[in-house]
Amino acid sequence: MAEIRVKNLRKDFGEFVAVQDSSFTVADGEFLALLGPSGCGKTTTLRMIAGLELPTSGQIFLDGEDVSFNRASARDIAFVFQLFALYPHMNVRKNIGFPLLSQGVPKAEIKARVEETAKLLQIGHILDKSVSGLAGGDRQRVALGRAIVRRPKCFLMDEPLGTLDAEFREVMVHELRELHNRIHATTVYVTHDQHEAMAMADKIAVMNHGIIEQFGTPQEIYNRPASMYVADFIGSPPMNFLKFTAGVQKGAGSVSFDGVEIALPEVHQDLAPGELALGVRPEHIRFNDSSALRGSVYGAEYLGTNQIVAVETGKGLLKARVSADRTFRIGETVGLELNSEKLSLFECASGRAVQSSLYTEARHG
Amino acid sequence: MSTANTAHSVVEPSQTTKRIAGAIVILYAIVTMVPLAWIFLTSFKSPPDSISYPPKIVFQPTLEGYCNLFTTRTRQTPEYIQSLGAPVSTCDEITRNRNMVIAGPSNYWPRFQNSLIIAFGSTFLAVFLGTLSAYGFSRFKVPLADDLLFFILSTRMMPPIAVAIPIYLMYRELGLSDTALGMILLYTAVNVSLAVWLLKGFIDEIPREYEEAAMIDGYTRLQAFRKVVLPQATTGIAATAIFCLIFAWNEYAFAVLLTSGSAQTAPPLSRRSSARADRTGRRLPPAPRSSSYRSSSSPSFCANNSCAASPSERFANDTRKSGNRQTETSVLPAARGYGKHRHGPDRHRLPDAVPAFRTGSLHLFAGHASCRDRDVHYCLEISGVNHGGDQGQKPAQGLR
Repeated sequence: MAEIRVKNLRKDFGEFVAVQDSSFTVADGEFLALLGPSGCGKTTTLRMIAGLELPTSGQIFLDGEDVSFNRASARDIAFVFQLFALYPHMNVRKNIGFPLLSQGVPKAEIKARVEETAKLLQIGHILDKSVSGLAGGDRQRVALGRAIVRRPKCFLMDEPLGTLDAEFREVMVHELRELHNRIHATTVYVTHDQHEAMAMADKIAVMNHGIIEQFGTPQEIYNRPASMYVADFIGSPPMNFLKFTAGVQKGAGSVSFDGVEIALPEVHQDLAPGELALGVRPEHIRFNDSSALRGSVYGAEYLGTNQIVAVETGKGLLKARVSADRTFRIGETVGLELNSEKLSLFECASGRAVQSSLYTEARHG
Repeated sequence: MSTANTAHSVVEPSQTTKRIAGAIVILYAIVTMVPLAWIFLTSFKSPPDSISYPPKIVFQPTLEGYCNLFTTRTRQTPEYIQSLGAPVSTCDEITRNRNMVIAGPSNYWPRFQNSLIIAFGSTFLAVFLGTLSAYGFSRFKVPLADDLLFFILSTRMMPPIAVAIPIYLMYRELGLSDTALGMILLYTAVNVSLAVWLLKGFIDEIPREYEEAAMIDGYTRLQAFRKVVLPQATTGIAATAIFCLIFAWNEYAFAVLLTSGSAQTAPPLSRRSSARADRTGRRLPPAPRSSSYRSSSSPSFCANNSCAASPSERFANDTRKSGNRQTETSVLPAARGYGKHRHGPDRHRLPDAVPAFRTGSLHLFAGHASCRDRDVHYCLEISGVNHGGDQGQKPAQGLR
């Protein structure tokens, strides 16, 4: 197992910049999820780590060794493809043993290690079957088996659950995390699904347009999004933005929003007057009829344990996640109270989060 | 779906529809089988039966066609034939009834072997080169890939025979004419374009992930190609190989033009069997070239067709029947005259090359009755080039 360090990585495809100035470190045994919409450069980053693409500039270190321009076969990594890439002309046993064959491992040992791997993944019973007849989940396990049988330095996975149906995906998310807990392999996992990333990863890198917008633990990314993009991408429904124009002084503990004072974590920087956005997660909104911030109910989605209520405030639609107990009528006027400790403030022009005690406190604490 | 449901199913055709469809398919199959069946039957007809009009459906079957295909025969006087003992085989008997005796085996088997060597050799080469270049076009950024692919395809955009003369001259210069290697190279060149295009399609269908997975698993690209791509492309390679093989096996025009002796393939040979009979039968009075005699080879074409199934034969056969007799008659004496000139007293053994080339070329161009004369002239010009100026003059004069 090994540490992966990526430094100022960049990849151009002609005019198109797929990845730019990416730097991050995946510690030994850590599970990193590269999260972003399609075309954001996450797969390209992964393929550069694997050696399937060569970087335009920048460096990749595997266990301290610069492997940026090494062949894929010389990097000792395993890759699980989106469509699994199980060799259709081989059965399960041969598929799993294929990487060992290239290393010249003796046949008896290949057999033993394939069976050990199959046991770990609970696919012993299908070892002699053809891969073409396998169900999605079994194909997934065989692909994983082929990756772990070699005990490589790290695992790279490119949306391995993308083709599974939703129900089964949850089972596999659980299994993958279990597997990771058992073998503690350094893993880079590419996905566009925030639930997968949140559920499995130790660290998440949110990417957009070839840039890593934020790198951090799932908690950091969810609670203290570094940019409006991250705030909007993570969470379902995503963070609400209330846009307004104002200037804020360093040390301010509230902003004036449409004539209503809203308390928020202490701001740590001066902001020239400009367009700002107040970010609030749906679960940080409560209904309080005495609140000065008012709006009319636009619609409600019942989810069983709770409900998502959309409220038109005149400054935009706010979605609140509240208890399912109360029934709302469409058009009903309600007062909204925002949890002042959890609010984020963004500069609309740059999209970056404004430094406040929410960000700094948590970092130190 | 159970059979009980099919009658009510929207997508399943009804029983009646199925029966009608089946009947149509079977009927069509029968219609398309008729020419093949006819060829097979013709191979058992006697020469007069084979060209009789209206065509005979009921006839006395004979193995004469096969005998003519596998043997060479010499015409002899009836007295000589009677002085021989009893016939030793069916073929012997049939031949004697035609006032001829079997002189030995024909060149059919060696020619058939040539066919095998050339067809399989060129198929192997074309598929080998085709697979590699298709893989390259499919997987790598080849500069001007589209233009190159179009260029490769464009070699098929004219009738190959249009370049027959330049190729003939080129081959003569390079010493490749009448060699198996030359024919293999030629068929490879023609087939490789087909192979590249077909195989590119097949290889495009194989996801890159397989090779990438193999390369990550510690294999080099070549190993990945061999262990992962090739096994998956087997179907495509097999299909391509079959196409190439069919082409090389059936090819007639170049085979006639570029081979004469050592490298000749089966199709041109059986085409020539009448000419050979002519040559060997020169002790006879000048009667033998009545049209029925010359046409005597058509059952042996059919015999060859039944053995080696080569449609170009059929074409050649038709062409021949359709009105080239006059041309052929006039060329053959010229060939004979040339043979005399060259070999002096040895009248029985004309060099294979001469009549094969002439008659072959004529058949080649014979389809166009309107320009027949020009074609004849054309062929003779080539023969002049082939065998030196002064000798080339003779046949030309003989013709005019």
